[in-house]
Amino acid sequence: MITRRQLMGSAMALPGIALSQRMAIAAPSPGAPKARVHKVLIDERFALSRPIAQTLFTPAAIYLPLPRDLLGFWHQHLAPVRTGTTSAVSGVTTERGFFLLQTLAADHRLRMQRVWSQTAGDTSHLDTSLVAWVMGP
Amino acid sequence: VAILPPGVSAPDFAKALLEFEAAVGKEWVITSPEEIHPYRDYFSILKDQDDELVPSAAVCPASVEQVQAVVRTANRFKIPLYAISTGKNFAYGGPAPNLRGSVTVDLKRMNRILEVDESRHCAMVEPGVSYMDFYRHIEERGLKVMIDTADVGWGGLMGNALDRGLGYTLGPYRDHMAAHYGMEVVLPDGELMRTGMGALPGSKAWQDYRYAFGPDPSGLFAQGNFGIVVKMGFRLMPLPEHWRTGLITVPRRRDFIPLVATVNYLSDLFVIGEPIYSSPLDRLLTDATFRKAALDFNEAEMDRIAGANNLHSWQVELQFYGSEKSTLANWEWAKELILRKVAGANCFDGDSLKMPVTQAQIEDVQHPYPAPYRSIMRRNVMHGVPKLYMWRSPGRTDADPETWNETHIGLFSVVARSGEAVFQAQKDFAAVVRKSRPGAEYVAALTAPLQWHQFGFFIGNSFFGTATRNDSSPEGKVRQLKELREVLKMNAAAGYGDYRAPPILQDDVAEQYSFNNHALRRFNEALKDAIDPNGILSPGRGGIWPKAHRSRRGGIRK
Repeated sequence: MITRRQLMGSAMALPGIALSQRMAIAAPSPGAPKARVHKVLIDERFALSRPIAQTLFTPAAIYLPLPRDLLGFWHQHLAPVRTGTTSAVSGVTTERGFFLLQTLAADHRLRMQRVWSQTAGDTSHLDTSLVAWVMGP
Repeated sequence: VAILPPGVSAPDFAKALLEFEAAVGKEWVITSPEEIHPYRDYFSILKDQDDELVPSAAVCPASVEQVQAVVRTANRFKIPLYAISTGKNFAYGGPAPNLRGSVTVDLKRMNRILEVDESRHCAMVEPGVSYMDFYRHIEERGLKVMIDTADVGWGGLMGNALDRGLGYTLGPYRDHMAAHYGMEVVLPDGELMRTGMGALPGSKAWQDYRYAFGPDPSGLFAQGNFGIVVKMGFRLMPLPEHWRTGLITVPRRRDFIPLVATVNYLSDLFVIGEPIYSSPLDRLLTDATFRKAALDFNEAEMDRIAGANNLHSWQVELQFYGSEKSTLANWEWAKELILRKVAGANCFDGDSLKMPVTQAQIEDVQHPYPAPYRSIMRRNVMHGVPKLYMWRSPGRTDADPETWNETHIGLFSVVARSGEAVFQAQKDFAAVVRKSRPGAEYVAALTAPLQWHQFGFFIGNSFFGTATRNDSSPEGKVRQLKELREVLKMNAAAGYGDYRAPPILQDDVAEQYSFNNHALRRFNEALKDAIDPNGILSPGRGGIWPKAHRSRRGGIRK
């Protein structure tokens, strides 16, 4: 599992995203399979969630809005990843949403295969930065 | 391996890890820092510091026999273990051990629901069964029982009960440890023991009678370190036909005293589930005159301003489980009682829902009461439906409800269940703030009690949660830790003890319970030394340190 601190390593500017919203990119876990993303969770409360997702993930993916109850999302869309009935799922969420899904994933030995975290402008304790991730076996 | 268990050499630890692998399978012994990460307390006050409470490794047994094998190996090499069920007890340390370098025994693979009996209303589960697992099990089968879930549905029935977690429905069920009936426990020497009727071979009544015969040691395993519980029975609430709520408001500050007495009466007759108290006067805190009156506990002035604003001073939301008719009759009775005791009280009908409720009914945020009164009840937990809604809370402020906070600690003092005791506690906790933060302004006069436990009130000193949450620097966190420790001491000096604490503060809370030169702790540690001479099981948990590690008591950032 990758810690948030580790995410702040090498930075890579993403096209179409202003400097103040630049993301840092973390190296994928060694040997992690290149799972095909077919669903993308976006947090529509944040205007940048969808544009970031569209930059990182294929537009052909199914875009799903973040529900109030992440448990339902977990059971419906993410838990099947561990049974191999679906391929990797990705998302652009807040740190909190990322923490919840990362913790649920760890319970089932799923991995966050790739994680990007917003860095610039993230200097206060009021952490409303977004995290992009890909989860798979 | 990034760190070693205390007092264990690298070669010995390597040998022990091989034995663990032989017991549970190589892939279920976790040593890489990347995979150890989930076994840390994500919200630790010491996060990323050299003395953060992190394990050296994690072992994930899938059976009782594997747990026994792990315990026997740990004894041979004197390796401290720390058992977790689902490890989701954030605010109370999450999966992190009391002793840095312990080996975490992760029981999540033991996740079978062994029995659910919908006519006797009981169940037997393994440690890894979460509330959401259990809810899905009964929902998929249409079983006529409901669970009393913790706020956060990914927690486990067993782990929450063993940490004395609490819920929201009727008293006998929302005290999760009290709702347990029978355990199977791996003792520190690897022996397997059953409590209650389970100690009788062939008994069919394990979940029907808790005590069996002779002393019942099951209480030792809650907030303790005397064994690893591998099976646990629970009483379950039968699924009621109906759920109903109602709101009572009382006009004057002192009306809180008869209000609590009336609610206690209904509660102790098991007529109501958890009552939710609050004060509608919080909206007046922007009024400087009212604020000063509240800071000074000037009750006459508070009443005058509340009256001038046409606001009542206190409210309590009641909930009733039963049939449609019985819940209505009980609500009518509650109204009659309060109107008889408190002049000017108001009663407002709330929700009336057939059980089980639908997902849409849970998601639909209701505002059943006329303004300015509002419901603050979290409906899903009242209906026994696990969710992760509570994760909206950590770090929340009114100004920024989506704030993420890096530290998260729950501390609640036990207060006697009366209006008078609450008023006294408000003054006592305000005095603690004045001593701890000279010049700080803390309005304690509107603090309402939580009745998570059937027979007692809990009050959190919320000042220390809000005033320090914005300093997430390592230095700021340590300042917060020192301050909390001082607060715990001052609370104890005023007669208040906490009911639960994260590992980093468990020694401090245990210190509060010091009657007769810590006779309770000395008794527990005498037992600990007798049954766990190598001190391998969760050293320090509950403030109980085995002889081998006793010198470590209070050793974190002292």
